[in-house]
Amino acid sequence: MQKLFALILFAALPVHAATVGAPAPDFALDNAAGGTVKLSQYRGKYVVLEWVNPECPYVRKHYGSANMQRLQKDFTAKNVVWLSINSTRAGHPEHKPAVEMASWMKKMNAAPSATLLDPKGDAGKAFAARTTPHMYIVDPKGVLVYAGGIDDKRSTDPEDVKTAKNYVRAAFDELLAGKSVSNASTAPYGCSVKY
Amino acid sequence: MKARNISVPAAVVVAVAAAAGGAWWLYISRADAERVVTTEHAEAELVAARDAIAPGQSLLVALRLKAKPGWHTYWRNPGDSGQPTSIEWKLPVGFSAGAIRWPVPQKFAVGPLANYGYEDEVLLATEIRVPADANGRVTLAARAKWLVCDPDHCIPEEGDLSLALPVARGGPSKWSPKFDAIGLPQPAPKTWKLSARREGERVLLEGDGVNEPALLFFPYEEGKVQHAAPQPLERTATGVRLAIPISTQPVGEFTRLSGILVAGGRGFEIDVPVQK
Repeated sequence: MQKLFALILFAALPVHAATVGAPAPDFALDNAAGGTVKLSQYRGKYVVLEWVNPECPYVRKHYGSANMQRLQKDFTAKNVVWLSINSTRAGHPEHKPAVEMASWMKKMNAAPSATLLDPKGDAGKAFAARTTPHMYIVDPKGVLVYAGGIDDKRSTDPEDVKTAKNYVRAAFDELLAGKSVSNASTAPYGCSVKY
Repeated sequence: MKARNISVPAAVVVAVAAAAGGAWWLYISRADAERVVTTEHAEAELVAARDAIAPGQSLLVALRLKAKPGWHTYWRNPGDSGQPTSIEWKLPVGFSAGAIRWPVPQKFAVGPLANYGYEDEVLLATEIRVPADANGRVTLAARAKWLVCDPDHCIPEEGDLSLALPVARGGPSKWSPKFDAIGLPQPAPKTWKLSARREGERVLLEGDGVNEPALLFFPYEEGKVQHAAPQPLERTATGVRLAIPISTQPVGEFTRLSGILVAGGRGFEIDVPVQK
């Protein structure tokens, strides 16, 4: 019975997943461009974490409309670090090895600081990342200050980007003005992360 | 990805009709075939509980959505990912549509995540209110959008659907038994005394007078509970206690336990304030 219980717990997301207002869990992940990236190496800067899967129609909405690339460019220009993370497990039909992931991002004209690979899903589970896209902001002290959706229009229609309220942009409008985020936790939408 | 209308060759319809015997079948089969929208992963059509539209009355009309084996569509709260099916009605002047009457969903485990929705066929019924001056033949139309997923992939699909019915008193349609079989949530039994309180990272639902061996709570809203987490049930002197883990990234205040409690294959609608 205890064994069964352990299995059930193992199958769920960790009980102590990242929470808004608390220090974000650290990770060390392979960079699609080579080398390893640790979240903690960016202490002193804002870091955006974007969960991505090129095969997901919700991800395609935000890349096809250039919405995601625009956010990446706008905020990396403001000294924000942007990490796009693919937690699709190795062996899943939608899994992309480093080279394919890097070439898709290049084809999309994407501009994250780095594209990271999390085929074991450890980083994704530590953040309780549930969807693609799923967005997080970590502040310069390493505290999670935003977790949730990219915007408030749950759809796969690129046209909706024009009228949606972008939660990441709204959060940075407040953060970069020295305020705290008023909508710090929203419902993410998209495909499930393919753990 | 775009929905397309299937067109069944007339010869096939005639052959089916001949096999079934009678001109009546011929008429119904052809009408059905033209109404059904078949996409890559589902089929969809509008069906009515009655065979006519009665002036000044309400009529139940449903989106019949059937996912391919192994695929599912979504409930009003899709769970950790996904999207609820939506119906955008295009009705004649004077007609109006209510909200979708969501049947009790199933829970699907997707790795460490969970989704709420429907495998196979679901009827998403809506009450259509008919004006008193309705006459002739009326076409009810809708654009339905649904996300259909299997454990590996998610595909957004949609269909433009319509259903033409005569204005008359009419009677139950051939779909009526399926409407009767829709598993809608029921009011909780009067013998149940429910209360809820927050304890650490869980909400404890106390069910005095509840004598069920298994319970599962489905929240109407996202960002309240951990959808995939087990909800341990224990017996108390007066009933049961269900422990519902709170989301690690909660959205908004968790002030009410509002949703469906599934017990023994039936769903009961509950709305219980959560004491701090």
